[in-house]
Amino acid sequence: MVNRDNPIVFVLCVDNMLRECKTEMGTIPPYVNEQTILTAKFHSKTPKPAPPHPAQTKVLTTPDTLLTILHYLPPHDLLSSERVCRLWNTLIKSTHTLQCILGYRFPSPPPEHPTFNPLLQWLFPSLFPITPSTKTTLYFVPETIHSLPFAHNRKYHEKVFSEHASWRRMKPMDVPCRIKKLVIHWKDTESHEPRDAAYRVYDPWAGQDPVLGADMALVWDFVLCGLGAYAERGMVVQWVLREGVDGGEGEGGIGYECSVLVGQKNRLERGRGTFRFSCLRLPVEMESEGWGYLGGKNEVEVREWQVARKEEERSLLWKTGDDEDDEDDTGSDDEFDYLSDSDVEFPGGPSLDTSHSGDEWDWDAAVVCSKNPELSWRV
Amino acid sequence: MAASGNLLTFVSADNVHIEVERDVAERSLLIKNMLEDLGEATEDIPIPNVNEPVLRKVIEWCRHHKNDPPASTEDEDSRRKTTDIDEWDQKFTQVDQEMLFEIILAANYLDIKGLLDVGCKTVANMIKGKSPEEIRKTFNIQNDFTPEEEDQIRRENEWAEDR
Repeated sequence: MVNRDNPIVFVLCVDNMLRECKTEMGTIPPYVNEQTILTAKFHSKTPKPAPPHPAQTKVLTTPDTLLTILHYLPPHDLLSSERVCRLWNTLIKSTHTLQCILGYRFPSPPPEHPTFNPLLQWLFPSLFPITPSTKTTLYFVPETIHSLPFAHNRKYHEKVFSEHASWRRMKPMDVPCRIKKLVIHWKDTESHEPRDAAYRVYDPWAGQDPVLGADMALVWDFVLCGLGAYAERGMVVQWVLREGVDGGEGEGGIGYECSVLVGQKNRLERGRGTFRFSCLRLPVEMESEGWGYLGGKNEVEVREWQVARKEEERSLLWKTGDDEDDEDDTGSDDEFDYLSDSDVEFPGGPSLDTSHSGDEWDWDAAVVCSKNPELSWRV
Repeated sequence: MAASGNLLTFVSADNVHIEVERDVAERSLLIKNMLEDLGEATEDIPIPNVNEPVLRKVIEWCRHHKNDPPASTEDEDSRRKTTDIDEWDQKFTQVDQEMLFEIILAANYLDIKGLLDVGCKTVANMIKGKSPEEIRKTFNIQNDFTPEEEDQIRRENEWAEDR
C-alpha cells in the first residue's frame, strides 16, 4: 500500500539551447503578416477629424519610439497593450525582447541568474518560491488551490482555464525547464526506511519540446496530477538550478538544469492530527491526460507501480530506491541528492486522522480521485 | 550669429536662434558627431522639425544632465527594468501631453538617449494600470481590430486582467 507519508517529487530539467527559428515564428498569430503591419500603420495614421496631437500620433506609430515605450512596461501592461491596436499587437508579438518579458521566449544569451516568470508567479503563487533565494515553495495541499486568486470566482476561473489562455504557453522560467520525473518519496511501512521511486516523463507524451522545454500548462497539469493522486500528502515544489550540465542537444554541455521537487514537508506549525483539508473537489478542470504525461501512460496506477516495486522489477518506466538514474541524461545522475541536500524535510509526515476530519475532508473522494487515471475534476 | 569659442547657435524650425554651450549641445549624439565631422563649427546649426519651445526644453534637459556619464549599452538591461524617474526629470516631464511627445520626437531626432528614455518612461507610466480601452482613449488610438480578432486576444489574456 502507499504510505500516506509519501511525498511526491517532480524533477524538471532545464535545457539552455534555444532555437530561434522555432521561437521566431511560434507566437505570431496567423493573421499577422506584412499586409497586416502595413494596414495597421495605415489605420493608425489615418487622419482623424481633429487629431489633437500630431507628435503623439507620430511617436506612437513609429516602431522605434513605440518599442522604446513598450520596453518599459511591466508584463501585465504589456499584455493589455496587445489589445490596443494592430500595430501594437504586431510589434509585441514580433519583438523578441518583448516576448522574453512575457515569457514566451528565452533571452539570448541566457541570463546569469535565471528567474521565474512574474506573470505566472502572480497567477500561481503557490507553485513558486516566495523569494528567489529560498527556492522552495510553501506546503501545497488541495486547499491551497482555494487560496489561489481564481478559486472562488467562477467567472474568473473560467477565464484562467480557458484553453486559449496565454499563460499556458508561457515558460515558467527565463531558461528552459523540462519536467523529467514524478518521484514518490515515502517511508517503508515496516522498516521505516526512506524510499523513493520515480516515473520518467516521456517528452513525446508530455508535449515537451526537447529544446524549448515545458510550458506552464504542463507544469500546472503535472502538479495537479500529483496532487490529485496523492492529495492526502500535499506537496512542496522545489526549483533547483544547476549550471554546466547537459544542455539538451547542444554540444559542450553549456546549460542549466532546474529541478522541481514536489515532496512532503513536515507541517510542524499546524500540529499533528489537527490539520484538515477543507475540500478535495478542486475548482479546477485538469486535462484528462494528466497521467499520460508519465512514463507508462495510463497503466500507471499506484497499486500496479507498488507491486512492480516489490518485485524489484526494473524498467525504463520506474525505479526504486536512491540508485542512479541510468537511463537518464548525462549529468543528472545525482538528482536525488537534492532530496537530502534540500530544505525539504520528510520526517514523519502528517497524521491525517480521517475520523477527525469531519465533513470537510472527503476521504472517499480522495480515493476515487487517486484511482481515477483520468483525474478529470470539474467545478 | 556665428558660434564662437564654447558657444554654438541652434536655429529652430521656426527660425529662432538659441545659444547653447558646446558641452551641453554634445549631449546630442547627432550634434556631437556633426561637430566632430566639421571640426570647428562656424555657422548656425539648423535644427529642422524642432520648434523653439521644444528646443528650449531639450536644451534645459541637456544642461541639467551635461555631466552625466555617457549612456553605455551595458546598463541598458538594468535601466529597462525600472521605470523610476529621478525627481528633476519628473518635474521636467510635467508638461502637457503634446509637449511630452514633441520632446520625445526631438530626443529621437537629435539622438539624446537619456532624454528619449525619460520621455518614453513617462509615457509607459501613463499606460500602466490601464485597460486597452483606456489606453486607446488616453492616446487617441483607433481600434482597428475586427471584433473577432479582438475577442481572440481578449480570451487569451483576460486571466491577467483581474489584479
